[in-house]
Amino acid sequence: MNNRHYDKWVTSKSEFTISDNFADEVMQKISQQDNDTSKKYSKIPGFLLSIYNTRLAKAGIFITAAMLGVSRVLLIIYLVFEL
Amino acid sequence: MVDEEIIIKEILSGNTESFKVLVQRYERPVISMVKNLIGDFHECEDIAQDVFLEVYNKLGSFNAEKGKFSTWLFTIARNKSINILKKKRPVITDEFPELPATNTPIEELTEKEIFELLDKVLQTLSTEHKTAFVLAEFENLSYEEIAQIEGIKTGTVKSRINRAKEKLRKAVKGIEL
Repeated sequence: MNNRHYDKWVTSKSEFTISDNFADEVMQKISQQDNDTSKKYSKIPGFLLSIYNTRLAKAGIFITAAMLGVSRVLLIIYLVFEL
Repeated sequence: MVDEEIIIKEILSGNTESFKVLVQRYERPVISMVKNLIGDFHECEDIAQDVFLEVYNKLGSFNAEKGKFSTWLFTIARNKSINILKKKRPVITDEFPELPATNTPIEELTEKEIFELLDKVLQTLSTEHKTAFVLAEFENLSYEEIAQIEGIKTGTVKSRINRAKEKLRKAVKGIEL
């Protein structure tokens, strides 16, 4: 037993076939995901969505609403977007 | 070959189709890495697809100043593989499988049997040792790249690889690694 076996083992580990449509399937998943996302948020104006989509903004809305306890609207906005 | 930074800019500016170039460029090394870390040939393509999906979703956070795209991609692939391993096998025993039932001396085993034995031993290594070994030996990454992916020092990478080889050697007595 010598290095020859080890080298062959390592080489054989990289010899395999990949589905011809691997990249296409990835692109299909991406397209599906993008469509789902745009459908979910289709009624929300783009600029509001871009603001809302930052973690800081989400946290800000939640904390403000929770601390003040006066703005049920903010809580509802948060919950509606999240759910 | 088109520069990866240019491709990434194109994707981020809305040209989603450019992502396919990255997928085609890295599908083989990513699948190979997942395959060797997980040890399950059947689901490695599905996992690799999820890796690319995550890469696409996080592409905006990639910072070329911090390192190469490939290193960032391998980090995501490594993390996903380790998460799956944790779900599959919460406890890694680090015990070695027995030599084939016949207890045939290593010199008398066929090459196929030796490879199968090495495969089994590889899957018994701890995640740290296996990851370092796979990245170095199968993906040909440098110690520096592995250190960046693992978030450890290059010295630790070297010792993990040596330890992995030592364990493989111990399991398959007589093998020179």
